[in-house]
Amino acid sequence: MGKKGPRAASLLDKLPVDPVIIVMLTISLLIFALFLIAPLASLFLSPRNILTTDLLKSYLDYPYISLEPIGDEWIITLDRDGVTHIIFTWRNYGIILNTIMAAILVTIFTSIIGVLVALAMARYDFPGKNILRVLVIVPLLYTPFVNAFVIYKFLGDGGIISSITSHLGFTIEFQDIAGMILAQTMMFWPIVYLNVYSSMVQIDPSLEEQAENLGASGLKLFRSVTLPLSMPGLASGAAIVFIFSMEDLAAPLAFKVEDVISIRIVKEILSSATIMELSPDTVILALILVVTASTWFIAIKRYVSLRQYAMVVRGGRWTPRRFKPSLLGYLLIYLLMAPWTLFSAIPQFGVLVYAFTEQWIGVTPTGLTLDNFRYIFSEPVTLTALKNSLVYAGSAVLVIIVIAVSSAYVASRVKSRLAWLVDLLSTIPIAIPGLALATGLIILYGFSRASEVWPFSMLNPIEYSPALLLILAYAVRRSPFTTRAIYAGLQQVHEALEESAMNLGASRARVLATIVIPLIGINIFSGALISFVYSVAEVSTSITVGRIHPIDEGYAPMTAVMYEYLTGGYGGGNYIHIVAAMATLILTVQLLVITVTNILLKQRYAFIGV
Amino acid sequence: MVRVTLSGVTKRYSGVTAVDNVSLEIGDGEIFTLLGPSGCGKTTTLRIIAGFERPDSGKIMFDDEDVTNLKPHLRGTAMVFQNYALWPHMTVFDNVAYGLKLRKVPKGEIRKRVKEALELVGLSGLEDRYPLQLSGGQQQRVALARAIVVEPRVLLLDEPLSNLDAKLRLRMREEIVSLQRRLGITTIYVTHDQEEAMSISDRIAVMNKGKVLQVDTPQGIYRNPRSYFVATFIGRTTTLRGVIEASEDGVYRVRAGGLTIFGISASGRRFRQGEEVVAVIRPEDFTLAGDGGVNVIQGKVDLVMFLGVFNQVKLSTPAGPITVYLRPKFKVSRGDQIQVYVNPEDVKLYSIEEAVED
Repeated sequence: MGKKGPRAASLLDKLPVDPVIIVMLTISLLIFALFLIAPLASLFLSPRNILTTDLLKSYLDYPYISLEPIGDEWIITLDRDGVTHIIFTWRNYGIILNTIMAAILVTIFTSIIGVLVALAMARYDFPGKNILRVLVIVPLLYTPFVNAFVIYKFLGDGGIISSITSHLGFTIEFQDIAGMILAQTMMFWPIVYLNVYSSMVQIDPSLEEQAENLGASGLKLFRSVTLPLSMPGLASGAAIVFIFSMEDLAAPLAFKVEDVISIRIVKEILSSATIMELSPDTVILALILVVTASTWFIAIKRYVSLRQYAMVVRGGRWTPRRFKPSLLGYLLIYLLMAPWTLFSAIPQFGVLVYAFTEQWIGVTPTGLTLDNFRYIFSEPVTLTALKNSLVYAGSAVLVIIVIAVSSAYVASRVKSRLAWLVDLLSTIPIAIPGLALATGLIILYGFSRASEVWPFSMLNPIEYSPALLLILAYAVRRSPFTTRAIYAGLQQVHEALEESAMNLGASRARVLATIVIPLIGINIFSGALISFVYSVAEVSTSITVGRIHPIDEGYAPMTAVMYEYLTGGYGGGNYIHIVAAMATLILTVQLLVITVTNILLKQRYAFIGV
Repeated sequence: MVRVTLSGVTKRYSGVTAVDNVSLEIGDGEIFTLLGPSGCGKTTTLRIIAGFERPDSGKIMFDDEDVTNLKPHLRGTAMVFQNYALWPHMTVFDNVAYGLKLRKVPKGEIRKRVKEALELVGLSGLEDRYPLQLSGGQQQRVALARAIVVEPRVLLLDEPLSNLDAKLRLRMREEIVSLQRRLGITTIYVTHDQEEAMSISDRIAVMNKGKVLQVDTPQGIYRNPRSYFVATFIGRTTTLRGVIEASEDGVYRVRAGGLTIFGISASGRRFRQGEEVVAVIRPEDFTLAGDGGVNVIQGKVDLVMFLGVFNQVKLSTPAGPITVYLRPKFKVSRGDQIQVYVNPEDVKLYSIEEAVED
């Protein structure tokens, strides 16, 4: 959250001797140490026991890395019965290269789209802009897995779009990883858009006017001033998209992709849990995931902190630069941007269609019904999962409030290197792939020697219920949302308000209770709501830790059951419809929370960025 | 270098008239200042000249070329913004070279001209720094160098000194004037600081509520303010309300409170007997006087403040409080009864409506 890191020297430098602050520091550091650092560390430490050089060598070959790809075409065109079939497909480079290449491509595509849309939205006024502003956010609404299935329904094998275009003499189909890339681009581009947009509106107008005054216009102006000054936003957004793409399960699941890291980890991790032995595959792939993601994240974060200058220029007039588009601009907006935005919002609407119908074969769905919801509330497996999710997420939120208040307060008020560490730890969970963390948690609390020592033995997800571990994993993964909201609130509370109370004799605890918390109460509440929603929608640890026990044993949260339904043959022929109904429940809670936080915080959306 | 002509320029923003029928003629090579309180329309006028705003009506000419509808980047103006608007992602060199690159100047010449421009503003050797590594004064110089290096037809300065501390402001003020004199670029300067305007300008246009009230040399504006607003906006003044009793050869006798004072009409307008007026007098126009005579005012000293060159003395008189500057060699102290004289030529009369409106 924008503080300079330490060079070296003692971490305890300048730490105030204040019991409340020390307690806060200890709590946050302890939770992050036990449930973020330690599991990741055990990921790094465990290979020593199981890996041999020969085993490592085998990772340089198929199916992991294959420099001579299987398949020799990216686009296949076939003519059959007078219809041209265009099929986008993928040349298989092995699990590891596939994942990284796909993540890079998704990052590039989302960056291009995100920047262009942000430019249009930040600098131009045109009719319909407010509708687009809302639609743009739709892909970010969590509907675990199902939205990707809708994309497959439209553009996969025998998709709706092909059914329509076949009358015009051609069909379009996306296969395998090509489909996954398309789906992820549709799902993640608003993340880049939001980050770049917020950078762009923070650029002092005079910086662009000065360039115009000296003779720059159009593309030159964009390339030399606007884009460089939006780089912090672009970099943040791109970093998040890269990480999200690597650990995404929805798109590969929908497009039946086998050879990517995320899918492989999920499959391996469960088999290792049942045979009580760690599979090297899981560890190696989780390591690759975490190393790639965090290298990327740290590089970007460093880059961003070096370029946080958009806000530096102060004074002067602040009339936002808004223009009327040219004719070409209008064409681009209405013929490309608006259709694309609408198109990428389709999956969320498709989820609703699945949820409220009996069948969706071919183009039109049939049988309007509420049966899918009735099923959720009557079938023991789904009903228990629903309850579990609420309990786990609710308990996680209690832990989150403690972590978030402590770390935000320490980060914003204490000038010590330890506070800097807390600040870093409270942001970094966003960048840690959940699957890597889940793998680490299972190694540490399921298999390692620590798992035999009380009180850690209670956390063992294999021996006992995984509930406790899930709650703490949710808490660590989802705390950044609350921490951010509280940190933002604390920035509005001038330190002098606290100092004057202390000056009158109030203790730190009293100041917190009577001054700070009342002033940031709304931020705590809103942040907690956002964390709650994202905990309910959490996928990575839910479908791994939460599925160690078979789902009918009653420990699994909702997303785990959704995953099982989509892959394991539960729910009969209309399993997608049932999963969509569950996604709709999550969607409803999200919309409620967004509405409430909008009213309370007057901010437009829960922000996703570095 | 060009002559800049504005004729009948008007700009409205959702009902508010920011610039109201402004006509100006700015001579080739002149330093011309738009002076007025914030919100008077001076910056909007400057932005209209730069092309960032399009007037609702009126015309802007550079010599004989109509630039009213020309895009900003085609006008050949160079603007220095209040906040300097240095691009934080470019070095000093790149900032200054930017305009030259756009003009497709050959590389070698760019290097030469940037070097010259930086020398001119006294920043040689800082080419590789980033704006954030510079002090406020240095940033200001980079902004100036960036503007002059493209040899603009018109140099536009928007409150360029307002972000500097008092001492630096005085120095930069001198540097800007001497730079402009050397280069001879037509310069339009916007400020709300009347002292700054007085000291640097060839001519000043005083603006209020979107209108130009008076265009004159600094001396003209100061000595002969044609309206109540200009008289009171520029410099310190004492104002006294009164009623016209009689007039003779353009000198009016005014009854103000318990006093009779003589003054002249500043706007050239004639007052009728019995008309209500406001008399405006500058504190330095008072001198200590002996007993009796025309325009000799007696008062009790309420407050004495030492200002260096002058003592600022506040007197209470039968007509109300007046402020007087006296040389420190005249020792006065609180409670003293003194008499001051002011030449009727220096008592400027304005109609009461003007003062009330303001």
